[in-house]
Amino acid sequence: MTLLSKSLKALAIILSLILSAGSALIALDAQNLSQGGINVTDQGSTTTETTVDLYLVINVKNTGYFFDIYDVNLTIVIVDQDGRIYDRDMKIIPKILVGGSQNIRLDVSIPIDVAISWQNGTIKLFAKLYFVFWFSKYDYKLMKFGIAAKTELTSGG
Amino acid sequence: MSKVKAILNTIITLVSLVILPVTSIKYIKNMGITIPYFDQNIIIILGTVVAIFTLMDGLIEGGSGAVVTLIKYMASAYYSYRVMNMFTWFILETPQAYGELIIDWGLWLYLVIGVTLVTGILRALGKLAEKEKKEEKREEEE
Repeated sequence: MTLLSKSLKALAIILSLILSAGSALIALDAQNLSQGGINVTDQGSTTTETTVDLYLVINVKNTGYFFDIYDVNLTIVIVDQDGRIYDRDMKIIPKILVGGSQNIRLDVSIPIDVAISWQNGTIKLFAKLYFVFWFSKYDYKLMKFGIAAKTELTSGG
Repeated sequence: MSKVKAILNTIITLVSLVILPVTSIKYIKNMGITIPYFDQNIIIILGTVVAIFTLMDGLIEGGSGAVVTLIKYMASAYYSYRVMNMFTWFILETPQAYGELIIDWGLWLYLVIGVTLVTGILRALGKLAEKEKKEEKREEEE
């Protein structure tokens, strides 16, 4: 095997290794974020004459080792069992660096008559939560993840 | 020796590109997760094509070997492109929970394809350089 052939082979192996290492880092950071990066720190509700106001405080912590997270978008949508949307709120954080964290407060309101129907059990209400972000490094957005979860709201909570 | 190496590489390729993805998806489905864009036939066809080129790459040397190497990496890049685009939407649906995971591979997809193609070019050039050196040696001996 010539020196040129050996060098080219070595370069090819190095490139493949860099790609494998990058994949492993993304997987590791994604796993860390999913295990302890997103926590609901506070939630509650207040009732006025016309609405029931709900709020949710979510702490997003970049628990990864290597990648920053960019364009963090948290959205909450309140829907009933037929998919009718009552309210939504969205917050965007441009950047959370490795080790950094941010509290995000989301506020939604439900009309009082809908809330009464919900309390009576006439309708079911669901909260759909969307969490979308980019894994980035040196201002290059590499990969976007979007997570959506739907949970039923229980009366009184 | 090179034949054994070629067959071994083919088996490894077949396992990692066809058998592992197909079996792991069955396991994921049992957990209640569906992947709407998943197409088993594409994985089997493209993975087998890459495995065949891996076998040919190990057996054919010289100039035509270099071409086969390049084609193998091009097939591999296309496999990555198709398969990565299959794994962009995951749905978890159980009686207790509903969740979705959406992935946009973005720049990473182009990095994977780019690095695979550059690796293919480098390996093909390496094979060509090897061939030229062998020819030079033969000429010197004559």
